[in-house]
Amino acid sequence: MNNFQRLEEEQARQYDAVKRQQVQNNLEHTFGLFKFIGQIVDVYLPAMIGVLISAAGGNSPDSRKTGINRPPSEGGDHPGRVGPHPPDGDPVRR
Amino acid sequence: MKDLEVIHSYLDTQASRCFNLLYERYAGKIYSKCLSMLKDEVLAQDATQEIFTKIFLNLSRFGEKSKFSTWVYSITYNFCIDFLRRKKKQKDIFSDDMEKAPEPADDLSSDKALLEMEIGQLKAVLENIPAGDRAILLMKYQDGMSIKDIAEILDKTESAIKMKIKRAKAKAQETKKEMFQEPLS
Repeated sequence: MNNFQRLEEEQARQYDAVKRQQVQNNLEHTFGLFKFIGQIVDVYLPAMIGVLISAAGGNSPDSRKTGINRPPSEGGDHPGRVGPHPPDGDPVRR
Repeated sequence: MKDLEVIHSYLDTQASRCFNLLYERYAGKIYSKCLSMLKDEVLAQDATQEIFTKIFLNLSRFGEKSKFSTWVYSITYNFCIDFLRRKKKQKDIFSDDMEKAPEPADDLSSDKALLEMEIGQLKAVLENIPAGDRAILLMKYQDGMSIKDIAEILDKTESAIKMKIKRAKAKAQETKKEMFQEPLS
């Protein structure tokens, strides 16, 4: 070990338990916050994208699944109960 | 548990014990380097925190091309150099010392003189030489980095780094002479 390394050890000792714990707590807090923001994005981002697509007039992937914006003849609003067919059209194949 | 195992485990599980392990191993060394570079305890403590944030946010980018410690220290030195650059509003802390630097002394004798300097003197000398010289001497003699590693970290050629090391050593010796002139007997 040379004197540069001894100097490093001496200075590292100045990083006492109080400083060490302070920085560690701050880091844990920061990473906890990042994790929380990540989880929020994971949960709400797909729903928000769906809302934006619907607002723009498109069908979001979610609404297709649940039958929203589908005509009654396709069982859209009342799944399980099929409404009348369009007047001039053939029955919709299901 | 080796560094690489801890890193893989952290990336897989995000377990806080892995984080704590790496923190315990490197916090003191990072703080010491920050203290040498920034010369202020509070700044060094803040810098240590920011450097750890950078390390953990970029852990998945560690390519295992170099040792983990070299990668950690490269982040540390670059952070300190950027900080000093911003503080001095200077583009490159390595740019101006080439003209001012004294002629390099003989390599082997200057190495010996530098490594045998008393710790108190060494600390004082390091505090009084330009930050660029300080960084290069710490990388070479404290961390034992190769010329190639230093060149990669500082984004310079290997021959430029060799010249900078010589000049930094000469500058350190000159500063020591100025600061600790032995009285004539």
